[in-house]
Amino acid sequence: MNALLQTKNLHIGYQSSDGEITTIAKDLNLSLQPGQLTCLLGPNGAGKSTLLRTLCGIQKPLEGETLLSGQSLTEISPSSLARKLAVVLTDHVEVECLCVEDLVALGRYPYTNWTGKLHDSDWKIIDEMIDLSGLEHLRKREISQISDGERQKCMIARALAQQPCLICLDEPTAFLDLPRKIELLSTLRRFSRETGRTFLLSAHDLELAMGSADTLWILNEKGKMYLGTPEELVLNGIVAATFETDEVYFNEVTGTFRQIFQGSEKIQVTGEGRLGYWTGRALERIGFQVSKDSASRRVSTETTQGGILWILYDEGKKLRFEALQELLTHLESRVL
Amino acid sequence: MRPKSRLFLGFLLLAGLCILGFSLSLALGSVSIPFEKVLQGLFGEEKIRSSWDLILTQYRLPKAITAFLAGAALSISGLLMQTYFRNPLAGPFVLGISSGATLGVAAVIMLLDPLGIPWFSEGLGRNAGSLIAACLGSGLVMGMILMLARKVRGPTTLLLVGLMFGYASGGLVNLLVYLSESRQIQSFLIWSFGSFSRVPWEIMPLFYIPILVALLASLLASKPLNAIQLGENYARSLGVSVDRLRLWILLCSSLLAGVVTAFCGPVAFVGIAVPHLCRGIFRTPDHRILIPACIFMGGALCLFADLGSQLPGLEVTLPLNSITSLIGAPIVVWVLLRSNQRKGSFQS
Repeated sequence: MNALLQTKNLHIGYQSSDGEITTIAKDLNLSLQPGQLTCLLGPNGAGKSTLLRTLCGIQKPLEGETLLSGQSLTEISPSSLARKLAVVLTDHVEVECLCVEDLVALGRYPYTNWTGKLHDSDWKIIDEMIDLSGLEHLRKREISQISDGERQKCMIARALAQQPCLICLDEPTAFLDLPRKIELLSTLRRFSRETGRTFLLSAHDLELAMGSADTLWILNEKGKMYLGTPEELVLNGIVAATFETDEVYFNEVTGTFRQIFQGSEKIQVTGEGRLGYWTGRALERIGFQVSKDSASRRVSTETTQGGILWILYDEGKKLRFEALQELLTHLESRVL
Repeated sequence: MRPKSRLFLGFLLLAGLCILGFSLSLALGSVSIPFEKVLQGLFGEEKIRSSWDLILTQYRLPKAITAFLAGAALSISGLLMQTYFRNPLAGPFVLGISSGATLGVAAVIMLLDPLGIPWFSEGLGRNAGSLIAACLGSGLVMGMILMLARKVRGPTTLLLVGLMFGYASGGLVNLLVYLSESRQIQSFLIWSFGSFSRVPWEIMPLFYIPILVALLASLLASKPLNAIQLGENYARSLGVSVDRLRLWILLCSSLLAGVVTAFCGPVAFVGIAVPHLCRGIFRTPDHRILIPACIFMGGALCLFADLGSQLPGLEVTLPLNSITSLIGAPIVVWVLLRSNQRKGSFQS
């Protein structure tokens, strides 16, 4: 399959006002396959935005070039580029009296004549995108009166109305709460499947991105880029190597990040499935190192008719707790 | 209200205001002319009293046209700046563009006039000189503001930069005043009070041609102006040639502000206030509506400001600049309060 977007020996970075050049990453040879959802991840400050803005042509590369459908970005005229590539940025949009409908309608800009007149066919597309993005009930509202998350959706609907083959989104989930984040990513995934459009987005949320992206691009702080399916990148240890810090480790079995507690007490947890797992999580939270191997302390869990019972074996003593909070309070005051 | 009917009623209101303002400024003044005589004098076959005819055609008609065009020009200049800088408080006066033009005119009055170059000392040549100097001054300041705007963050900083340009040109003007003869100083002072009655028919083309060209050019840029409201990055991603648009805005807004300043003096607050009034009436950010609306609103406002400067019963004419400041400054305060309220309600 031919790549939709391709970079050739791309060097990205920026030039400060005193002429000093800061290189973020060198020799990037990336490609995007049509119809895929690609997520760009990396620690804060690794240069995700710079890369994204360079790929969209907003920022100039230090070296190398970006090809869109085999044509160099610099050779495509602004108006025909606007029909192929749409962006959703973190730039704050504040226009007095601009309503949702008119904001989405601006997406038709590359298709209208010099007066900007919208035809019925344009309105059909605008209506469809408003509908797809679930903005129908807001269409006459002014954008200064809706929430940041809703405004983000408007910007995405506007990008869709541009009918591009590629949409680049810089941190589209930044303003949303967790369920909305998941919803947005699965919506984008659905768009990419249904409309054949390609999405490239940068995100903070690794766990979330792993759940919906076809491909991950991981850019580490040293400017090294790793590409692959999310699962591959976990299995070959790249996720852990990029994101782990002195205080946080990546659990490659569950795919989650956990805090490391230095010099913590060991504790053994025995118990069935869910119960054992969440008891372990609670003990981890208050600072224990939970293991399946035998340790001087052990918590066993069991389900009785009266409810759940937690039993703590501590230096020969056996203590019973009917509520998890009681167990935690006991351990916190006695041991930690 | 439905958008269509709002549009219709809005323009009906503006047309009414313009016609009223125009009629009143033809009829009223130190000598009142009955309105039917005004119509008769302008359009009728029958002759009216010759003194009235003289006042009407040689004085009040050019003055009314000048007031209308000056108001339209300043308002569009302000609208372009507010749109490009995405700053509700931008305007030719606040950003120091008018001060740049003032400096140009001051240089002509106080440096060139004393030299007494024949072609340049009166009439068309003298006015063309002021015009070019004023436009150079406004263009220079606007160019510098545009350059600095890319480096400064936040709307208030930009205004402070504009204010500093205003002070700097003011300082240079003061220096010129200090070094000049009293005759030049007097002629500069009179100019700086502002007036719409300094454009007689023979120099009218110098005034209306550049203004009409720049107004038309602004109207032609309505579509990219709508897009640039989202910011330069979004505008570029929609296919706007941002660099070209920036140059277009630079040329139009400084030409409009420069021409008006050259002939009418520094007229304060019209450019900043009128776009807000129009947004208030039409509730739209669409420049295809806002530009014509600002032309009529600005025109009407200046016609009424001019009427206010020669209140019936008063022997003297008040400085125009004071009147526009008295009308405009409260509007700006209102805008500030309103935008504060809106922001506050979202932060809390």
